[in-house]
Amino acid sequence: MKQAFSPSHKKFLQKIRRNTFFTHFFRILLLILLFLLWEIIANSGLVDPFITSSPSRIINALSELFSSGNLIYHSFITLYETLLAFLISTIIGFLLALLLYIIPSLRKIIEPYLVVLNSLPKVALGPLIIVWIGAGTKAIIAMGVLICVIVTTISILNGFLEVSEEKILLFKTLGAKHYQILFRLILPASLPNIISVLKINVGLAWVGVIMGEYLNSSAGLGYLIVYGGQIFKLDLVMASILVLCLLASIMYFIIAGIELLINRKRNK
Amino acid sequence: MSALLKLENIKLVYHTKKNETVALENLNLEINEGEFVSIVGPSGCGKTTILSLIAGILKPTEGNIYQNDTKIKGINTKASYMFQRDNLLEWLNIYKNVMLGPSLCHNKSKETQDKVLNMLNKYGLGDFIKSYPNELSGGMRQRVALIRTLATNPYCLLLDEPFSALDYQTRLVVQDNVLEIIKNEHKTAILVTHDIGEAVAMSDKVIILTKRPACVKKEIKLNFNKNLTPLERRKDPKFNNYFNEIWEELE
Repeated sequence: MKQAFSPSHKKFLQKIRRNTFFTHFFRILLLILLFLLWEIIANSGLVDPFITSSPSRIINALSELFSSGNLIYHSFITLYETLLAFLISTIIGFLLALLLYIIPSLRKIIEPYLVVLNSLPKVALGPLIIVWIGAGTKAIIAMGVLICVIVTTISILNGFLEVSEEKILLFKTLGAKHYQILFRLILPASLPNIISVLKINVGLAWVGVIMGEYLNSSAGLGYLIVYGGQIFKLDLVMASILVLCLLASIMYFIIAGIELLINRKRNK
Repeated sequence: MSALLKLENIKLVYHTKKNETVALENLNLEINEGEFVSIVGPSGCGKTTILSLIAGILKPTEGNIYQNDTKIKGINTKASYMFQRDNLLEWLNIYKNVMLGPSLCHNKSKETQDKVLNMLNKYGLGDFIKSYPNELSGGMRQRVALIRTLATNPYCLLLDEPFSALDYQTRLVVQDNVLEIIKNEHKTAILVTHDIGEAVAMSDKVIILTKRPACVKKEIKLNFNKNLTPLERRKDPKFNNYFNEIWEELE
């Protein structure tokens, strides 16, 4: 909608724009300053860059990793494991939540198990996973799935249960069958909740996969971090963490973008 | 003439873990076709329960409910509900919201579509067919909800305090609108409300319930001039008399 604004409104908009610019500017400035400070302190001899590393050493490590092809290789493996863990846990969690929603008696029986499993640190199951599944990619993905799946189930189920009783009643009085209530009310109504569960899940999938790689692996960013720590190449550790940061954020923002698209379509 | 709806010796008991509550006992009620009936009573006396019984969501513990002399079994899709909240689905546009009932019953015939579009146009929502619920005001949303309940062509509308979530001014206007629509479409309506003024302004008959376990304490027929709108009734001297009469019964 195009409209002529009054001068005071223009001023108001200008102020908002200035504030946004201000926030962005200082956000980036803070990052640059932190890295700069880190570099200066590391170079000044106040701390030992062998222990603390420094931005320039990280860049060197990164370019070395990149030129040897290791950066792409290890990143790709971790990304692949994370994506799979994310997808598998989302699908299983969703189906499980659906099943528990449809059968309330099952939900009541299973509830305490879910609570206990949810509070259990899933990393503790690491040795079992390795013995049962065997060391390697499969075990790492299993670790990721284990960490995500219970939270996914609980959150999606709660979303289903939050749909208002009155709306369900409305559907019933309009003559809706059970499957119609599920597909035309419960699922569309909990779509925003499901998306926000996905957002949490992306983070958890990274946690699970890195955990898995710590426990057993011969490749991946988690492996690089452990390996770098063991041989005291902290530049390598820092470089891997940086790449991890970048990849995790990209995945998060993709999901956040999808969320924005859906919300915009609903509330335009 | 036999009544459109007849509730006969209804008893309803709610069971909870701690105890059982007799909500209704010995309730007898008749509602004729085309009537606008209000049910008032002390709070928590089971007004809404009566609507749930007619809608078939609850089954009476004892007694029977007849519609045109046939017993109601299961969900009664011919009686359609309107709630305090409009319960419009945010992800569907107005037209699809209104068509919810027909599409759930796989009855999207040209005739139904035309009828629904007609009503939307007639009642001032024609420009908003493609809009989404959050673009509409509270009063408009309640009108959409009413047309949604009419789309399934019910014989009877069950109104469960549909105006109480609106602010006072909107409420008066929407009461006018809703009554106009209901009379235009020749529907029978049962309104549950705690607002005596609303009951007197809108209905042909007011049913006063006793405390729990509720039964009918008194039925009051309202004799207003037929053409008065709810707003005009409020200015009629009879309005206060009826108001006081009901008020005293509720004391």
